[in-house]
Amino acid sequence: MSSLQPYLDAVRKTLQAAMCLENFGSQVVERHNKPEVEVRTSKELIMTPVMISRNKQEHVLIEGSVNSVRVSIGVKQSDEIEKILCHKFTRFMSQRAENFIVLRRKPIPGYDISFLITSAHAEQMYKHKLVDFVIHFMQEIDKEINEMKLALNARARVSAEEFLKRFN
Amino acid sequence: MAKNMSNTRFRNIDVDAFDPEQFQDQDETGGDALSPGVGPDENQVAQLLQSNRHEEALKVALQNAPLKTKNQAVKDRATATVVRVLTSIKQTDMEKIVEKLSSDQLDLLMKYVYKGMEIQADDQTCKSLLAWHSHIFNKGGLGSIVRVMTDRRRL
Repeated sequence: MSSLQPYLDAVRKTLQAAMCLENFGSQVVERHNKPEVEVRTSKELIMTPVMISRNKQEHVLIEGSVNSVRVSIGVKQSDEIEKILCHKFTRFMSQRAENFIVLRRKPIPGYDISFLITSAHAEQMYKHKLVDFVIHFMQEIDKEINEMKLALNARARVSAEEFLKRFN
Repeated sequence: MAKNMSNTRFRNIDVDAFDPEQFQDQDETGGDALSPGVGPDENQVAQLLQSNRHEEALKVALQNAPLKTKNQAVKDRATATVVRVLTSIKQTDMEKIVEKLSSDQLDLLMKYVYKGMEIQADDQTCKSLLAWHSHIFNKGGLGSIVRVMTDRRRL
């Protein structure tokens, strides 16, 4: 916990800074309005991407632009089981991306899950709540994967016991 | 898009690259990575660190930041130097040192902190860099982060 809190604090502050968005129409196509961080039509609209890391695996990449922010999260995966659980979990979420509104359908290569926050989202919703949501998500996903791992091990133990009873 | 011209390839041209003020001769900085004048003075930093003068070491490390060079290796080495100084400073001294830095030095330090987390992501370094991040934020506020993100002279 002691090392998690500074990490989350740094992510929160950086997100607050990056969440400075405005409604910005495309410079290339008339009447289009696309997230610049995705389409990358001009490099002067894209901000320097910053990375915040806690260790080799747990890191967050925050890419800002004039009208959108992309937040990509790398989740801790210490063994094979956690890797599988994390993959399943993030896939489950990404497939239901519409329900989460700011979730990106596909994570950026090298990361487990990505969010795309556009100026429209920042207008519809409170910015500080959006930041809270991302931070909360980061806290919960670790907890969730730990719980799933425990449940999986408990279930494996029970089923093994049942199976081995026959040979008693 | 209403297309009334057949050739739209000119739209993809990176106009900034042709700005005469942006022109940089590759040989000027790219050829010799060890050329003096770019990047902090590593020997002096190492000396100051050995004699336990962390604060001066940090000030020396923050001089001559290689922001203008295009050579990524030079930038990475400068970052490594600064990160070495930052990790050798104790948590209790950080606040005192941050208080003494000017706002320009503070912004530069923030850049190094973010870059350091990107290129050397081991447990101990990150812990120290995160602590630095919070101390710099306490003094510089959100502006120090925004200036890192908006500055085009990247590390």
